[in-house]
Amino acid sequence: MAIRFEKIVTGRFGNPEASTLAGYEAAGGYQAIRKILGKAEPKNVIELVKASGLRGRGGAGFPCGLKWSFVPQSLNPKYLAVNGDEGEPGTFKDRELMIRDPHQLIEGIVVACYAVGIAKAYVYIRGEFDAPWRAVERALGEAYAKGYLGENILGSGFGCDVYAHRGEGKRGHPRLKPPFPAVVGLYGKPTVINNVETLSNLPHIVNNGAEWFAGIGIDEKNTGTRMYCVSGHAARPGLYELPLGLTCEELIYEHAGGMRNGKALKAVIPGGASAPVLTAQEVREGKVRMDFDSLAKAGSMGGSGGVIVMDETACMVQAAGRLARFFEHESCGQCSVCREGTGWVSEIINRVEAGRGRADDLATLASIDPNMRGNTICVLSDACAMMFGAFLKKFHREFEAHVEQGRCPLGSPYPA
Amino acid sequence: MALGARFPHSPGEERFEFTPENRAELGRIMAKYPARRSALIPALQLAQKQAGAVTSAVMQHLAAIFGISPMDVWGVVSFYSMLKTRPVGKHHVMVCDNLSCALLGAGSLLRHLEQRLGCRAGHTRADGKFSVERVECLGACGGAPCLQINEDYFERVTPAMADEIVAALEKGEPVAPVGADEAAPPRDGAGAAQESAAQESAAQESAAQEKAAG
Amino acid sequence: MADQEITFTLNGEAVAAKKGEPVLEAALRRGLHIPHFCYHSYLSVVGQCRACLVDVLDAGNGKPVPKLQPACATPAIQGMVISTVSPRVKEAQEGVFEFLLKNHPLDCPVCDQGGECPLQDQTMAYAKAVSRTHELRRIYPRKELSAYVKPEMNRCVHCTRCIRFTHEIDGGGEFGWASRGDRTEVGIFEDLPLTSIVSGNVIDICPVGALTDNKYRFTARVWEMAHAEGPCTLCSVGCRQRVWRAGDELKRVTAGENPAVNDAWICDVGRYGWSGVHAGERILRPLIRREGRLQPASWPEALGHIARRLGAILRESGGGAVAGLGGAWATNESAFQFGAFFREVLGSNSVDCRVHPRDLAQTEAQLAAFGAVGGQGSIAGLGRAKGILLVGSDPFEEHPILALQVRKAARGGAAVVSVHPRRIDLRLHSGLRHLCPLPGEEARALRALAKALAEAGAAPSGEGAEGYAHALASADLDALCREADIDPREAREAARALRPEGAEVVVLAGPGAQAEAAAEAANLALLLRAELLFASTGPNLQGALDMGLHPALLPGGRPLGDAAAREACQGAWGGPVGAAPGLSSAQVWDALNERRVRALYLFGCDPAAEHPEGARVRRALEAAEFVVLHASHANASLDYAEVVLPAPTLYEEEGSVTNLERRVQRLRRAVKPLGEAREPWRAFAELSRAMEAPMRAHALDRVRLQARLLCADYAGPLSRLPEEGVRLARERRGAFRAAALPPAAPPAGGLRLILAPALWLSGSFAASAVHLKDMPRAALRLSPPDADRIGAGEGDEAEVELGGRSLRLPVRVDASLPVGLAQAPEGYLAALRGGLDAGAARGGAAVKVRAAAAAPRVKVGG
Ligand SMILES: Cc1cc2nc3c(=O)[nH]c(=O)nc-3n(C[C@H](O)[C@H](O)[C@H](O)COP(=O)(O)O)c2cc1C
Ligand code: SF4
Ligand code: FES
Repeated sequence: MAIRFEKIVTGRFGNPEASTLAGYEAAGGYQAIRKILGKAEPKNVIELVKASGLRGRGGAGFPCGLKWSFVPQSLNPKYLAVNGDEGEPGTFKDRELMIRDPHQLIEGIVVACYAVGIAKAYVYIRGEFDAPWRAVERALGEAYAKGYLGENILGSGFGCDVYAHRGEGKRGHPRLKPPFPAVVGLYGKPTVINNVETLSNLPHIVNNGAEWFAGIGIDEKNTGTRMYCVSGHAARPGLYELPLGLTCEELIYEHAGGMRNGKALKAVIPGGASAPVLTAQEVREGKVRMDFDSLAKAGSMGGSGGVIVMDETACMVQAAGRLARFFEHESCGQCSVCREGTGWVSEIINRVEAGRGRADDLATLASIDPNMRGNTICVLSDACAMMFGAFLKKFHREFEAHVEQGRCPLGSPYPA
Repeated sequence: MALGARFPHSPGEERFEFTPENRAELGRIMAKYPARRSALIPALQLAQKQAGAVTSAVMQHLAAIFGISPMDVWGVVSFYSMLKTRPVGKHHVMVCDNLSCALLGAGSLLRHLEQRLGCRAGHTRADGKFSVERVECLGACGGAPCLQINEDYFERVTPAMADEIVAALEKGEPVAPVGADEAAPPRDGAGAAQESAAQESAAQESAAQEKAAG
Repeated sequence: MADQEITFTLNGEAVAAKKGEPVLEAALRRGLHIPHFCYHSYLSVVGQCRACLVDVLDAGNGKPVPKLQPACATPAIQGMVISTVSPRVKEAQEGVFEFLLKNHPLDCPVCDQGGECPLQDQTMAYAKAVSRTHELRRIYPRKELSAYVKPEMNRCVHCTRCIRFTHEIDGGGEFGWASRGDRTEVGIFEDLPLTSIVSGNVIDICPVGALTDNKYRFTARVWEMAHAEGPCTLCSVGCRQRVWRAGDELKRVTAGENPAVNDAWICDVGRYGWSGVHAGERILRPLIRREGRLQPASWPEALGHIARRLGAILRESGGGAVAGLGGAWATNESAFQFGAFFREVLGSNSVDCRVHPRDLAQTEAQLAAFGAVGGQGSIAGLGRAKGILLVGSDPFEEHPILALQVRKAARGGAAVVSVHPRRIDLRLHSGLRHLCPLPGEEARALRALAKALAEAGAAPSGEGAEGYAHALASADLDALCREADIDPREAREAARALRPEGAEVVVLAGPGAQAEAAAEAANLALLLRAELLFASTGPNLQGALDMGLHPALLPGGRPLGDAAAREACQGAWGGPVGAAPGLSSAQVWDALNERRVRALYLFGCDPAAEHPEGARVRRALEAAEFVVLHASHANASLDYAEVVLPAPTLYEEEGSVTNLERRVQRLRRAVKPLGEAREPWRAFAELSRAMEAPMRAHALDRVRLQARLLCADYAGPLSRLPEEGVRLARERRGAFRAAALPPAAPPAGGLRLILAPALWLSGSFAASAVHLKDMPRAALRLSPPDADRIGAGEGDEAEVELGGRSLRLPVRVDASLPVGLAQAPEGYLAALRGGLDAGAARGGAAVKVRAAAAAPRVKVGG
């Protein structure tokens, strides 16, 4: 099947003016809400998004329209939480979307709010992100001034407010589910949570139609583009917006310039730190495609779109240890399994990497893996297990060699 | 954050009050959210800017403002790495050390910076000008290795580039951020292609550095 | 719907449950154990420890749930099929325990939790027997918490029960989480001490040895101890508690569970009050005053002495010359026998359990409004209420568990209105409204509130309604508010808040509701169709009244004027009962001074210290010809006694007690009576024999038989008491009393002092309890401006001058006090025998305060 190449959300990235309201309008911005506000039935907008096949770009790839339809219409107020946390290592797209094209996001937010009947949206931007915060705040000011936000937008009778947000002022603890956020979410109210990239697609779907969107991508379940965040040993790391369904090799070799210094590919993490690593062999022989379902079939996942490419010089134990440290750091600490498990795993892997591995360490690691899956409130614990489970299984020899030799056979190429 | 950290008490820190401007700003932030508590993190960031750090007095003051216990404030402060209980340097240098950056020499960049600044990660230089910290993913992996100095991002940083930045900061000169800013070239294929050459030499340079250091 | 009964299957066994309740709760009730740490029936469900994971094979809809589910957070649904033994559950359990133990120190042999440690016990049952951890264990820096709670945080398993307790139940929020990942730390802010009066509960709920009892630890092992379960007798709430002993020594008290009273919490006064049992102040044997000194005597000698002295007075002056006070600190059985002894043996009706004028005022107000005392409201009703009116009540200081119930109601959305001179603290961030009248003007504030309620549509109905409606109609809200010094707008808002449509309202009158305020509280309860609770200070005041310790009421609360009632007594006791009412506690003092009463029998009370009009009372005691003190502890009244009889404490006696909601609970003896103390009911029977007028009731079952006969509604409870006790409720019907309010006091200049009870400083028993000495010290509370004015800071000493006497107290700067008002704890002043006759003055007593000495900082609670 021929895949149609078309940039959607990053189309204006080359144009520095696009981040301003004038630039956005000049490039055709704020037409989508003109088209639907007060004109289309909200439920038809949900149907449109369902028909487009748009799936969440935040990690789980859940169908966006379907998620919206879970929110009880009768309960008010409802909120939209825009996830701009960009917490997954290897991912660096939402930050750019917020900085370079904030109005596109705002327009997407208005579309979502209109469809679900939401009057307030909160764009969560993590505390470390200053430039995105400023960009979004500035764009919000412009949008309010021009009547794209607030009461009675463009005289349509529909109004909604959007705020930049640093969270509820609490520790970031995932909540026990059920109740699901669609019923009890932000501030205890029904809440839709969408990723920045997911929302940024919406104006385009409204403007160009569901069919147009569904026509990009490999099949009806994997439609549109993704912002692939290529990092690591590719010759040209960077953001590549490409249709869902191109192969991993195409992404690396045709778009990201191949491998740095012509070195051989060793492994790819295709969807952010949580996504199980793929070996070069799997990538090559499996012709693994970079869409949600193909990656799932290959035993990994599309996740957040972070593609970390590693060449033959990379030490897999070190990579796993580095990521384990991230999970240990990110664990919120409430579930015993995750609080203790992430720390334990990180300690063992980094000990093995440093040449202080014990004979039974690899067996212990292997047996911790299943205990960390499916047993916690959120899936951070699972993500950690998926990560090190795949490294351990697919590069077992390399782990063994570390234990046997009491040092890194590759000489710990990237000491932290 | 150290386990069970106790916070520095110096006489000057016994009391904390927001300046009138910051208090007004906090009022504006509080009004935006359905629950006042949502303003806690912005309030902590404001206080940190004003007092140089989130001290014990700051936490107790905010607890009173928000009607929560000081422990609840500390729970939040100790959760988010951008909140500091001790003053950091005038220029706080955060070096990302996650996988993507590590693969491209973050480790040697960090060590280079520690040497250049005479200040170990996690510490503040005696003159208070610089502090260095190793941080988790900054969300700029495509520009690895990257670092953040105060609010500004710097991407594809070579040791030489780091020296230039530091030299400028030491002289009190403004330094333009390098990377994902509206003005910077986009990180799509085209933009990246232009930079790949620079990128390559950066990697080589850091590899060389590594050998020298190792 | 919420209470719909359903059935689900657990490991093949049928389990009955209330629809929607946690599967874990239902399973535990059924005796099927599922491991758990974070779950606690009275705290919110967080599902964090992950120990309770179960396999839902059928979610009640024919479909399995793919992932294991935490049983604590899984609502029970009809037809569910659950396994806790499937291989994947076992594997998960072993995993969870391995993680929980990963950083747990290996110090079980020296850990105080040993033997009652859920971690240890459940590890034995559910964990793999091998340890695979080689890593160094996590070490937290040491911190101290309080004199009562000893932390050993390295043992913490992060179940967060302590965090949820301090946030949800106690409200202070002292415990919290810090950091994240495997450095996550449960603890307190810096080293701010735990000061809450209910903080000891964290010891009970901590499932490991991280929070242990500092007073108990290392004094015994749990397997060496036995425990008795029953009501706490430190105050009138009657929380269920467990009293632990090793041999003949009390070791500790832990909370028991009674959902109708205290859920699973007790206050620290109840927890540590037992230390008064072994106190040096205990009276261990009878004493007789010879040559001006109390000297040891045998029981027969002492009883013979009393019999001779009383006999002579009876012969010369008749029964009317003997009066008895006390009984609120006794069992129902002993109280009953005290009354019977007076009426039957001495022929005196002058017997009264209401020694404090406050108790007298409150009970008389209830009698006037309802014809009976107590039974108009319930503690559980308080916790469920949608509106609460607090009258002269500061529950955290007076009855801490009631404070928790009020907080529970407030969490459920109740509006709470407090009428109190101070802005009392319930650790509520919203929902609490204050009407702060001038002290002594509480009744006026309540009348204003009633007026505002009437404006909002509340209409009195029933007996006396017309008169009250008329009084309200002619009342001027603004004038009332002006005189009481409250804001009429706030009164109107409070009235609106208390009357959301059809809401369940409870009026709780505390020790501050005296005289007119108590009467007005009853009116308001009638107007709001509310439940009404009077919270007295004596633990068994209610029971003692029901047993007939009232000059005009016989057992069962039947009036003395009722011939049939008198006849019933005669039938039970054998002797005739006089129809003329005796003297009340208010009348006894003058009667003693005027020699109309010659002998005074003090039973478990200490008027010399506890009566607010100390000087007058002490003059009367001085004037008395013969005083018997029958008590467990030496107290200030001892100085006036000619004979002293040792009584057991309520930890040493079998019987029953009745709490403030008229719940009768069985008291089990925890240890043998110390020294020669013997049960008072027995002592009275023996005394009657010494007086050659033997009472019929000479054994406990005979006492009970008589009490059952004479107190109709006690018949059931006294024969068989269920574990949670029986609440003897009364119909909520009464009569409005539209008494005219006394004229408003002219505005008082200068500083006024009010005395208020603090539970931990009240009475000689609490005063003697060594462990309670670590409670906050008695202090003079001053508003910040007043403290500034006299130049005293927190902890400095102030000299308080009142009525020509003075004493020194540390200062506590308390923003809840209005300017011009100071507060001191009455029990403490009493214990000092300082003789400050302050409480009687309406509007507080004029007091002079000046800074005395800058004292070293007082460490509160630590
Ligand atoms: C541990 C963890 C971390 C996550 N981090 C992010 C994140 O940084 N950004 C994001 O958009 N979604 C993140 N997600 C996914 C969100 O929970 C959520 O599914 C998503 O924001 C929904 O938006 P979408 O449906 O548009 O993808 C994370 C999920 C988990 C379990
Ligand atoms: S799995 Fe980890 S991050 Fe997720 S809720 Fe549990 S402890 Fe927190
Ligand atoms: S008891 Fe259920 S997760 Fe802790």
